Parts: sequence; C-alpha cells; structure tokens
Amino acid sequence: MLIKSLLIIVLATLAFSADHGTFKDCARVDFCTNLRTRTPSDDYSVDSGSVSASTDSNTLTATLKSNNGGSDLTLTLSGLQQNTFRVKIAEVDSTRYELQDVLDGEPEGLNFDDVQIGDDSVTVTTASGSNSATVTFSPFNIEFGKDGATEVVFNGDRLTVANNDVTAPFSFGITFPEGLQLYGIHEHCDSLALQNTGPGGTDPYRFKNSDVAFYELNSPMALYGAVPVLYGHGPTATAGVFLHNAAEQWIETTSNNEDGGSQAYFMAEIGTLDVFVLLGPNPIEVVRQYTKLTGTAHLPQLWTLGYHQSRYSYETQDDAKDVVSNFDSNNFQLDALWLDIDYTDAYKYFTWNPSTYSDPVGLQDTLASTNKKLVTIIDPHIKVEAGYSVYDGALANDLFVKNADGSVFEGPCWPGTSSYMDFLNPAAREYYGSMYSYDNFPGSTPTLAGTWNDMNEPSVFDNSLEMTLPADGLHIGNVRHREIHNIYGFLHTMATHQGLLARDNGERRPFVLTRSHFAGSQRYTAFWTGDNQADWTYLHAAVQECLNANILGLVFCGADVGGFFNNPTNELMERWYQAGAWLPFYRAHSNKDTNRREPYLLPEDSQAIIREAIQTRYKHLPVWYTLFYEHTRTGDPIIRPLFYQYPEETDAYHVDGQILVGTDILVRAVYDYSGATDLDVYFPGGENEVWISSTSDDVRAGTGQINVPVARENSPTYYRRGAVIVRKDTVRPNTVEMTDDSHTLYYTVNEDNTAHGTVYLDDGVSFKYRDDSDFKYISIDVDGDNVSFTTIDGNGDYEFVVDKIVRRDIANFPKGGKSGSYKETVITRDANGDLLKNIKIGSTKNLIVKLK
Amino acid sequence: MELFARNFKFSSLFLSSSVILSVICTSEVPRPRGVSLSRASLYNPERNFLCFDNSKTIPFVQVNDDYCDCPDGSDEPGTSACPHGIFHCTNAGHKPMNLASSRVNDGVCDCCDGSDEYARNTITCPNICMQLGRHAREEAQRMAELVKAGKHLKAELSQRGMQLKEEKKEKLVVLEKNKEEAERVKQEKQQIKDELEAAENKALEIYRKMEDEEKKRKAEAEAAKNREEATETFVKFDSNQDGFVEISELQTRQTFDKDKNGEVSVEEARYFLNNEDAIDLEKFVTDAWPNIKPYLMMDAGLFKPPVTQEESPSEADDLQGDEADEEEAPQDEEEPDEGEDEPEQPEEAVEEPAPLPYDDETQKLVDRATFARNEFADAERAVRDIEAEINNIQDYLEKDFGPEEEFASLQGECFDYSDHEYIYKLCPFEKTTQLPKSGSMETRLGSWGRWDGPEDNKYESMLYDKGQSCWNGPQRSSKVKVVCGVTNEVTSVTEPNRCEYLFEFVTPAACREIASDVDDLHDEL
Repeated sequence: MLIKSLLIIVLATLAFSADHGTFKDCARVDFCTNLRTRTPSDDYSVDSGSVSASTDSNTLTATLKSNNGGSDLTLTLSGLQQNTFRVKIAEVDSTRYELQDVLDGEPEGLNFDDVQIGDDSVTVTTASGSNSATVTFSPFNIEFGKDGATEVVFNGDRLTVANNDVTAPFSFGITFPEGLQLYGIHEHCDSLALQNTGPGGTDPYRFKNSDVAFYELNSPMALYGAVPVLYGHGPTATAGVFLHNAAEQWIETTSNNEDGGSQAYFMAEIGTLDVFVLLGPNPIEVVRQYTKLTGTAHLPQLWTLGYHQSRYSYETQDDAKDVVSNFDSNNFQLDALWLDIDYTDAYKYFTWNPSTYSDPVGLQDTLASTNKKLVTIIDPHIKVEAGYSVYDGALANDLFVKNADGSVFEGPCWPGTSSYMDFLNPAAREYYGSMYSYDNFPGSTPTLAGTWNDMNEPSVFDNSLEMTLPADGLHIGNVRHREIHNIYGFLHTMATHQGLLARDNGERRPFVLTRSHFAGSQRYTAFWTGDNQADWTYLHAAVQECLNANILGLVFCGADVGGFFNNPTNELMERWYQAGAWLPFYRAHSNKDTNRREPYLLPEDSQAIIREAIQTRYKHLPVWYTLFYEHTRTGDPIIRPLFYQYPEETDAYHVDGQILVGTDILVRAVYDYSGATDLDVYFPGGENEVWISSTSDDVRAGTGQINVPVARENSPTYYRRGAVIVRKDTVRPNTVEMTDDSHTLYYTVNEDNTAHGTVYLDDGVSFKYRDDSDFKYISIDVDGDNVSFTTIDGNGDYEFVVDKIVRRDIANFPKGGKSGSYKETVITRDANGDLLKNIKIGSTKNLIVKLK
Repeated sequence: MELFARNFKFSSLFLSSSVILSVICTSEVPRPRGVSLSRASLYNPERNFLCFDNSKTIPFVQVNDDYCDCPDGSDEPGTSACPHGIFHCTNAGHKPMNLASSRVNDGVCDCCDGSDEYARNTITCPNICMQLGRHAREEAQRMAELVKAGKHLKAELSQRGMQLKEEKKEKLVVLEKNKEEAERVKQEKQQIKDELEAAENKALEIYRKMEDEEKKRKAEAEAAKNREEATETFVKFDSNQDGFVEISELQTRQTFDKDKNGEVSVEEARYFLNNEDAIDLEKFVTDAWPNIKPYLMMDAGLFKPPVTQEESPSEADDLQGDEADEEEAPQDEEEPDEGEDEPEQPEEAVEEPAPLPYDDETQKLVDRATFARNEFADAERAVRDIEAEINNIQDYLEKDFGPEEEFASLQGECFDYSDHEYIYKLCPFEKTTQLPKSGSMETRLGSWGRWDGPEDNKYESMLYDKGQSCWNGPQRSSKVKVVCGVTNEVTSVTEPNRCEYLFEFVTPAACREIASDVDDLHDEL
C-alpha cells in the first residue's frame, strides 16, 4: 500500500516538473564540472614580439603563450562599426568549426584610429578614440573602454582552451565594471534580471536546445532556443557580449558584486571562441549594436498581428470549420486558424490525413471567404517510409543527418522511426524549402499563409540522448552535431523562410513560427515560448520571456494564451487574454487532454471580457505595425522592459511583469493571483512623466511603485503624456477587413503643449516597402491647436485618414501618491468646420491641420 | 386523413408568407439605411433624433453621418461608426438579418441582398436572397417531408411504446395479485414450520444436552493433553533443569532457526519465549507453547506454514496467526498417538462431532420439520421472484420514454457505429461503449443518466454518465444528440472534450413538428 501511494506521488510530481533524469545538470556534464571548479589562474600571456596592429587596418593579432606547456593560441581583435569589437582566440593551427549562417552578413570593419604598443600592453582605439581596447600582456586580459570608462573586461585568468578527440572545451570570463545587473542569455524560464549562480547554489545557465516537457519556473535549465548574448547594465553604462558559437554552453553569472559591477564565466563544449563586445553605452545602443550583427525582423504581414486560434489538434476539417464559424457568429476577431500534427497523413509532413482532412482546399476556401488564414505545422523529422516522396528524395540526395559511422540516423518521433534533415547542407534547405510549393504540397493554397516549425531542437524521443540528435552525429562536411546543435532550429526556419518566399515568388512576406531558435532567428521567424502551463505563474513567465527576447532581437514573441498543459480557470483565461493582447504574437493553444476552451465556449461574462481584450488588440494595430516597421529601421524592441527605457531607475531593474509597448504604452499584466482588486504598478520616468489610463480616468506621475485599483475588465493600461497614440477604433472581424478604416488619435499634451507620434502605412503583405519604398512613414506633431503630419520616409501612395481626435487634458495633476484626473474632448472637425476624415493626409509632404 | 390535413396547412403557410414578402418588396417604407421596418417610425426626418437609450438628442442630419453620437449606437444604423451598432438587412426573398455594425463596409458580403457593402468600389455584392430563399424553402420542404415520414414511423413507435406500457401495467396488476397470493402461502407455510419446529426443538432438547456434555468432556481432555505435551517439551528443553527455559536452551535447537540462516539468534529464541529471556513452566504452557508447537510440527514434517510475505508484514503476520490458531484448536479431538516427539496430524477442516443417533419418534419429528422448512423456503422464493419482476416493471414505468412513449421500443436494442479506430455502441436507456477494432476490451463510456436537452425540448439529448475513468482523468461520459430520421442509426461519434463523447443518433422517435422560420415570419408579420 505504501509502495503504491509512493508511486502515485512520484507520478504526480513528474507530471508537473521537468525530467531531470533526462536533462542534465552541470554535475553530470564533464566539461562543465571540470571548468566550473577550476581555480582562476593566468595560464596565458601575450608574446609581446608577436603583436601586430596598425591604423590602416581594423585587426590586431598576437600570440598567446601558454605558461604551463599547453599549445600556443592566436588572438585576433577587430574593430567594428557601431562601437563594437570582436575577439577570437584559437589554437595557431585551429580546425575549430566557425559558424557560417548566423550573422546578417560579414560585420563591417572600422579601422583603428590609434595604436599604442607598449612593453606590457597594447591599446587600439576606434571612433575618434571614443572606443578603446587595451590588451595587457601578462597576466593576459583585455579591457574595453567607452569614452574613458572601462565597460567590459575579458578576464585572462578564466581563459582555458583544450582539445581532445571528442570535445574541445574552452572558457573565458567577462566583467562589466559598470554593470550592476546582468540581463539576456535567452532562452530560460526565469526572471528578467538574471539570478546569481555559483557552485553550491544555482546551476549555471545552460544552452543546449531541448524539448523540455513541463519546464520549470525560475530555472537555468536549457529550453528550446539559445541567444548567447549577455548585457551588463547599470545607471552609468550598458555593455554587452555575444558569444558567436552554437555548441553546448554553460554560463555562471553574478550581478551586483562587491565592486558594484557584475561578471560572467562562459564555458563551451566545442567550436570557436568568437566574442563580440558591444560598448553601448546605454540599453538602446547596445541592442542596436547587437541587431546590427544578427539583423532585424522584416515586417510581418499585417494579418499575423491579429488573433490566432490553435489547438492540439482540431482533429477534423469539420471541427476546424465549426471553430471558425463560431468565432464569426459569436463576434470574436480571428485572423488565422492553426492545425497541429494530426492534419497530416501519419505525421508525414506536406500531406493531409485522407480521412479527417479529405478536402483541405474546401477548408481553405471557407477560411478565405471570410478573409481568414490557415497555418499548418511542419516539423523537421521525416518519417522513414519508402514511397513517401519527401523521404525518398532526401535519402536519394543524401540530405539526412548521419550517425558517427556514416549511416543515416534514425530515431523515434511523432511518425515513429524518423530521419532528420541536415539543414546545415544548403541543398537540404533548398530541397525542404521546395516542398512548400503549391505543387509539392498538394492541397495547399495561398490561404495556407504561414508555417509552424515545431520540434526543431531537434526533438528525438530518446531520453538517453537528452531527447535530441546524438552529439557525435554528422552533418555535411563531417561537421559534428555537437558543433552546431543550437542552430539546428535556426537553419530549419531558414529553409522554411526561403521555401515560402520562393512559393510566393517573393511577393509575400513569409510567416513562420518556430519553437527552437538562435541569435539571428528574427530574420526568418516569430517564436513562442513552447509548452507552458495553465497557471498564473506561467502567465508572468510569458511576459518575462518575451521582454527578454525583445531586447535580444527576437521581437515577434508570444506564449500560448491560457497555457498549453492543464485547464485554466475562467479568470485566468480572462487575464491571459488581456496580457496576451500586449505581447507581439497573440495565439491561444492547448494540449490534447485539456478541455476545449475556444472563447465562445466560456460563460457569457468571461466571453465579454475576452472579446474586449481581443478588440483592444485590434484597436491598437497601427501601434503594433508602426513599431514593427521602426524595428526594421533600428533593431529596437517592440515591447520593452522598464530598465531599457529608463536605464537610470535602479528600482525598476527587477520589474518584469510590466510591458512598455514602444515608448508610449505601459501595461501591467495581471498575473499575481486570483481575485486581484488592486496591484502594485511601477510608474517610471520621474515627476514630469505622466501616465494617463486608457481604460479609466486614472492619472499617475512617474514616481515609482504605487498601488492602483484593478478592474476585472482590463489590465492596467496607461498612455504616456506627450505621446500620440494612433488607433483604429472600428473593430472588424479581422485585420484584412480593417484595412481601409480611418484612424483615431489619442493624446495628452506635455507642459509645453506638444505631443508626438508616428504612423506607418503600406500594403501589409509584400516586400515593396523594402524594395520600392512603397510605404508612408509619417510623423504626427501636436503643437497647441495645430496638428502637423510630416512624411518622414517612403513614396507609397497611402492616405492616412483620421476621423477623430481624442484629446485628454490633465484636470488634476497627480500629487503625493494620489491619482490625478483628465478631461476628454472629442474633435471630428477642423477649425473650418470640415470633417477631419475628408482631409487628405499624405498627399503632401507636410500638412498642418488647425483645430481651432 | 390527419396527416393530409397537416400537410395542407403547411403549404398554405408558405403561400401566405411569400405573398406578404412580396408586399414588403413592392411597398418599401422610406427609412434610414440599416433600419428594420419595425423601427422605421423611430427615425423621423422631421424631428430631432433621440437615442434609444434616451441619453442624447441630435439633429436628424447626424443620423448615419458615420460618426457615433449615441452610446447605444442607435444613431448609426447604417454605418460602422458605432462599436455596438446593429445593421438590419431586409433580405427580401429570404430571412431578414441583424448584423454587427463592424461588418458594414468591411469588404465581406454578409447580407444576401448586398446592402451591407455600399461604400467600397472594390467590392459589389450581388443580391442572392431569392436564390438562398428558394434553397431554404427547398430545405424546409425536405425537412418537412422527412418529418412527415418520420412522424409516421414515430406514430407506430409510440403505439408500440404505449402498448408495451399498457402490457407492463397489466402485468403489474397481475403480479401484485400474485404477490398477495404468494405472501399468503408464505405466511401459511411459516405457521406450519413454526409449529413443527417447536415440537422438534422440544424433542431435541435432551439430545443437545448430551451433545454439550460430550463436547465439554472432549475439550477438557484436549486441554489436558496439550498441557501434558507442553510440560513434556518444557522438561525436555530445560536442559539445566532450573525450572526455566532460557534463550540459550532454545538456541541449541535448529527448529527455531526461523530465517533458516543456520543459527538460532537471540531474537529468534526470544520470539519463542514470548519476548522474555527465560520463562517458567506456567508461562511456557500458556504463552510460549502456541508459538513453539507449529515449529515442532513443521520440523516433524506435519505442518506447513503459509509462505511468508516480507513486503506486507502486518498482513502476513495476521494470516499466520489465524492459521496457527485454527490448527491448534482441533488437534486433540483426534485419538492420542503413540510417539512422544510426533504431534498428531492436524485436520484440514474442523469437524463437528457426529450427532448422536435419534430415536424413531424424534427422527420423525425432525423429518417433518425439515419438510416444512423446505416448503417455507420455496414460498419465500416465490415472493422474492415476484417482487423482482415488479421492481423491473416499476423501473420501466418510471423511465421517461417520451411524452408519447415513442422511445420505449429502443430499450433493449443496441446500435453500432465504427470509425477507423473503434466500434461504438449505443444501447438506449442502458449504456454507451467503445471497442477498439484491434482489441477486445470494451470501455464503458457511460450508463443511462437522463434526458438533458434544453428546456423546450429535453428529448433532443441523452446523457450517459459515470463511465469508466480515464487514466489520470475524469470518468467518461457521453451525450447523445437525438435527431429526426426515418431509421434508427448512430450517424457519428466524436470526442469534443477529453473523455466526453458525443453521439449523433437518428430515429423516427425524435421527429416532431418543427417550429419553422416560416412560422416565425408569419407570427412577426
């Protein structure tokens, strides 16, 4: 009896936490154990005679001599545009794998403008001396300075470079003397501000992309993706490092050390020590420097910013149609329906289940008739089955990952025995991408407008392999899997992106959603946070993770609304829909064994609240679309943590349940507990930054944390004073049908009577904005009673129609922790009495509308 | 005759409604765009417009000016300006419809008359109401025919159902009567039995006394023998003859090596000494002997203890103890044996001492009483059987087979449905099940619960609940949607929620007059 109940307890525990038997901690990984316990010691010094650098190049080279009989290393230090340096260290005759696909082109060099070689150090500078790198010979280290202050130190005493037959681990240390708090190193389910790790305490943060069921909160365990970028941020400076390496890594982190700085210890299993040093000196600049290296997302098609409905699975085409028609008849907005694996014939991708999806074109036509889209899942594992053309072709063309002995790898996944595309091989990407063509994917039409790439860590159902490909598996050119493991998903989405682009003759922006990802994945795909759980804590985790991803270039982020595993309460559903509306990607999804939870199935009162939440999303579509455009120009995040926008407010460093949408909308997600009637909200920016509620008449000053009342109907949402928020207040059934609708402007003027905003318009579908400047990017500037509309960029023939201006003037200024209030005026005509909506904005480069 | 009359009424309804519809078409009442006929009078161009919620009065020119004045949206019936507005399409030739105003001029044709899309020149919506109307009428006709045919069958079903009910009721009356009779017989037989048993008892009293005495004597003899045996053993064990049996004295005897490890440990010895280090004769006889004896017997190959189960010690102990007790009690009823070291062979079952033979007179009384007892048992069984049958019928009569007993004849039948993986079975008023095609284990998806359709027609849906539990989940349950058709047939089975099944069952029993749109329209007009 005792034994039985013990067993039940074990099962119940397993059901809600990750499988630590399968996924290793540092103690079970040799190179991590060895490096982690190593006492720092200066094993290398620079051979001063070997130093070579000059002002007509951007590269310094030197030899690092081992002080204990190891092999010599070559140090290469390059100056790059954008306040960036690059450090490479490898054996003199290195055969280490160097990543080919991650960077968005070769980084632009920047020649040294000064080189000072001394007896015990060498200093190079760029950008008129404002960026410096000083290499000290012995003990070896490198100090990187910005405008005279040391921002990043590459610690020589943490440097190790080893090589054996199987692995070739290396390590190094980084110190941010000005960085009070560390951020970055996505993807982990953790607080935004990184935890301190260390022997005896928390394990180091791990990177080894893994399909982790029931992943845990506040954990350094590896998840599906890897972005090895670390920021050290403090009130005086922000800097960062990017380890350009796709092997398994472990990172030990300490913030707020005794010197008020922070430090990290990087340990990697194999591959090249290739580090970009980003000198900021603030969060905005450092993120821009990083996205300069790995690229930005292109604009998404407009419909992808609407609401998406998914489930594992809509089992039949009738079920799918039924869901769509219920969204319409119950007045819920919907842009796309998603099909999980069961639509396929026996999990053979690019096929349809002949009994349950016998008429895929009919389904797509039904969706198209109400301007909706279909997205289907396509995974990287290929069912081993002679006669399945995708398999046959890949086998014949030698496009699968191999075992160490050269035979084709086969492992279990959804279809049973499967082989895995070798996406490192450009021919495999080409082949797989071509499967998306309308010819190769029979039953697909343009209504199948996007692709969902899942299981691409890649997932192999074999616990002894940590649920993925064997580390000694082989890719093209005999590259070992362990050398590129973390970019497998990245390469998968690269193939899909290229395939969709080709399918539509380059005329439509591909839409891909992925689970696994790497630095630079933003160029090809949106991503979601994987298999989360229907619990309040995971609602908070969704916000934390998307905020983190957004400062790492991966802007198009979302989480399964409602939580994938288990059943949410109605209240949690309401709050999740409210929070999800303020994350860039907005999709509900749920596991097979959960109760059906399409919003129209909930009680009427919950439906009303969810309807409101989804409509809030659609009303703000112009805000989202404009932010995505601005991201393509700058790399700036779409949603932002407070510290990013208000870097000096140390009290906000740990606030990670609030979302800044751009600079102008502040949202407090309600994830704390059931039945919340009031919550702490942090209002940033100081006394003169005023926040005006968009849902009540509450007005607050940016003086920090304060308790505010919370209604069931919405999460606290505030507009920044001085901002012009552009909305579309007529909410149609989907984004397509809102295309021609006019806009409403909301603003509160600053003390000097001004307000500012931007809006971006284009066709919402094609690349003409990029290739032909077919767009319009407009600045909106309020000055007293005049509103001027100035075209900043773009030659597109797009009219910006405003039918209404909602002016909110502060009636009572918030004081002493008390709420202020505002008075609202709605303006529909200009000073001449003409209706605003008849004024042709955009026809001239600059137009001033007088309101009085 | 009756059917014919109904049919006639039905088609005359069609006739009248289409006449009235054409009247609407020809005499269009002037009203703002998107306003229904019934509300036309609220929009008077001669007067200012009062929002329906009385919140505001606005000049009439502001009605449908594409700017939302009224919070309830009533000033913009024909545009999409108000978030909660309603657009009415007349849809002459088909059904009128109310549309959310956000669908006006959104590029999708929602109204069949195309009236919701007038502002964009990129889209023209053709008027397809006549077509749709015709289609709808044809569909209604088809349904009507189906209902007609179904109702015919249903009438038969109901007749059969009512007949069944009548039969059951009649049977019930008969059974109640039979029950009375059977109970009377039972009482009679009881009386006879009681009398004869009294006589028998009296006659047997003397024999019982004799038997009791015999039993007592045997028990005493047995106790004495047991004591004698124990004493003998005590003397044998007490090798140092100090009047106590001690641990060391037991340790020399392999019999007590309980765990068979080759030596008798102190613990083992203590176990046999009732957890003491040494005991005297009296204690040995009363406390230790019951533990020791089975081992001696086992040693002699006379008795096998049950296999010990280490995992569940408490249970195993209990078992062992019980059996040991049982084994001891009867031992001395047997004749004493000759060998001193060999205890007698215990019997498998305890046997009552053979009754003393009765004299003829007594035997006669016993036989008569036995006969009366048998007669009474028969009478009692007869009553029980009738009661069971009555209960069955009452259960049946309590079941709701529909207002006209139309579902009654489905009881006792089962209907199969197979998809690619399973064979589902619906046995109305009993259960729903699922059988994998590749297996033989049937899973119960639910047992008859109740009708659970909506209030206006609860016979639309059946609930079968309390089925087998899902692994790590709830108990299975199924709903059966019951729809009109000319055959009895399960037409689909799905699992819309985990462990919640939905059957669709077609039966003539579900055919009833449809509250048709035609009727609605008629009423409205």
